[in-house]
Amino acid sequence: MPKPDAALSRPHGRSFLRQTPFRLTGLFIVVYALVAGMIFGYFYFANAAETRALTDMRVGMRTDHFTRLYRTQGTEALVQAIARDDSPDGFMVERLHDDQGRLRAQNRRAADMQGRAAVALRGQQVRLGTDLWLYVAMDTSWADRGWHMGVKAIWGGAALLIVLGLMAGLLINREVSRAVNGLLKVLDAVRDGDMKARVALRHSGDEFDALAERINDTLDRMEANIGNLKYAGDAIAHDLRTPLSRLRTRLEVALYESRTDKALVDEVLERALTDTDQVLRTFQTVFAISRLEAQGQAPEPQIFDAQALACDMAELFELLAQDKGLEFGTEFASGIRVCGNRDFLAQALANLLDNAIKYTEAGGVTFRLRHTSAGEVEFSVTDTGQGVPEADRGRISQRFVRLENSRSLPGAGLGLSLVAAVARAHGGRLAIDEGPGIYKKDIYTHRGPGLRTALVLPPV
Amino acid sequence: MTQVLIVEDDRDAAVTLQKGLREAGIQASVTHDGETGLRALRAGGFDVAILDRMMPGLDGVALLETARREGIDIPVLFLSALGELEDRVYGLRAGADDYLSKPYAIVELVARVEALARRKDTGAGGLEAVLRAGELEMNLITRVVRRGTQDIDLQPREFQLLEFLMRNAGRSVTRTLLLEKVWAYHFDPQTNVIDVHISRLRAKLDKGFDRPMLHTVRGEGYQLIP
Repeated sequence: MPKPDAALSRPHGRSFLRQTPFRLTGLFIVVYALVAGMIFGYFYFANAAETRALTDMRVGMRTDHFTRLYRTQGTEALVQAIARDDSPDGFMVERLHDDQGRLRAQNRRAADMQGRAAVALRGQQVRLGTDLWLYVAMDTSWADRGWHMGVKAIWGGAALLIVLGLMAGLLINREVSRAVNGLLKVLDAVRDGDMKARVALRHSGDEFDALAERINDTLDRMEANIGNLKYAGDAIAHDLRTPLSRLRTRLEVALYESRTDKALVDEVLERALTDTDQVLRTFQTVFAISRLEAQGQAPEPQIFDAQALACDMAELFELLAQDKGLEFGTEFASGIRVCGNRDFLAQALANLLDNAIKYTEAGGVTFRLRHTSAGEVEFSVTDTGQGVPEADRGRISQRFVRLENSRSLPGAGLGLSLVAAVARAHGGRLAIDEGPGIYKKDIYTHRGPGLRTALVLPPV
Repeated sequence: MTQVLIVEDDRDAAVTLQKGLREAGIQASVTHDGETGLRALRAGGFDVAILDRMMPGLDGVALLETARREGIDIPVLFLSALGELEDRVYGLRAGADDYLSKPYAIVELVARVEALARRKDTGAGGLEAVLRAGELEMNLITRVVRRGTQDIDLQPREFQLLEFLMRNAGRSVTRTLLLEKVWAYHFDPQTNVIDVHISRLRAKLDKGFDRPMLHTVRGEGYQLIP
């Protein structure tokens, strides 16, 4: 057996970074962060554009006001107006200076700003007359400050999101890993030969529990099937050992006796041939059953008259029943067609008829063909033999099962298994029920209650 | 004498087969692969060919299909270890005239080979109106059966059974072959169901006569001895 890959058999040994829940968490964090960033960016650009427009409008209005004042009342009035600082807007910066940059007048905000670096100003400078410049601007630091606080908040939020997200991811990861490891441990145990290993249910009703239940169910069935196979294997071995060892003894004896009596050799060889045939038949039947079960359908199906088949089989077996002193009755409905393999169906009916005759000491066998109320085609054989206890009826169609009281009769215990396999391959079933009742010819013969076996096929 | 070609890659099996056929008075030539077998078939001179289905190189089915395409219409019996019903149908579809699954009884193989050889002689299975086997006489048209001077009254199935036995008089026929040829069902009658029919026939055939004609051959089947 190749050594199992350690990484495959032990997921808990894998890095948590490679585990699905954790990777999903990471993906979600990235996606959330992207979406948040996009929303924030939208607000930023929308807000910034509005701020700029408002600022430009106010700066423009103020500049117009001062320009008008200069035109109508002259420089002195303008200087006084600026120095008076009558702007309703506290953020306005107003300055008047000459060509050489010498300050002529400024408002309070402009004065405050001197010596302060990094102040965001947005405004314009216009030339009012020779040697006179007006500078009007608005201090937009307030908006930027708000913006910066927003950005800080976003970074904090993002960090929180990542930390909490990772923690949630780790928690989910641990839960999922625990469930998956439980399943994997059981599957490993089964692979290594422990068919009894089962997953412990957590009764949480989640998908993992459903999966565990399904796995347990599958393992139960596999265990049962393997049990059946083992049983069939033992039974085949047992069934073949008997005739094979008999065969061996006979050949050994023949070899021993051939030195003295040549006449015995023929007889022993003949019996050896018969024994060999029996072994081969057992093989052949087991093989046929396996093939039918593996294929799940009958080979070469065709539609034919069920009554003709029933008549042929009745004709074949009537003499056998009569020879044993049994009554043989038939009741065939006409015009019933079946779809299937003629030879396999014939063999199945032959097995049913043969069983009925073999296990009936007195009374009779009745062979019927009819449509059931459900429209199915039913070939049934009833006998007045010793019957089969209800508890055993389920298992007599299993391979190699022979009941105690039938062991003295010839057979390998494969007849009904083949019938069941043929029935299943045709989409039908083998039904086994109580027979017609105790047959009383005289006070000594009351073997009853008989058995009713039926090959039921679906309608065409 | 009937000439048979055996194409079988298992040399032991081929030799056993050849011996078995010789015992029954049939001459057999053996080839061990499909190509040689095909050349032998083309050369002609055989009455029946026995082909193994599974062979390395040209297998039985391919060999037969090639031969049939070339117009070689020799009766062919297929041998196969598969032995399942669909394999039989497949073999017959490929152009085989009969099919036998391994392991087989030599007597059954001989019976089938002889039936095929006879078919070749007489066309489709004998057109004669009267069959004779020793003092037994069967008129296939009036359906009167007579042993010596005594009329024998037979049921239709008994008539068919006897007809088959008479056509194979002196040879062993197996129960499986009887079920196949008389009842037209292909399965292994695992019980003595055929025996009962034979004993009925035997009762009618041999009643009142000192010498029985219908014999049981242990381990093989039945034999009508003329």
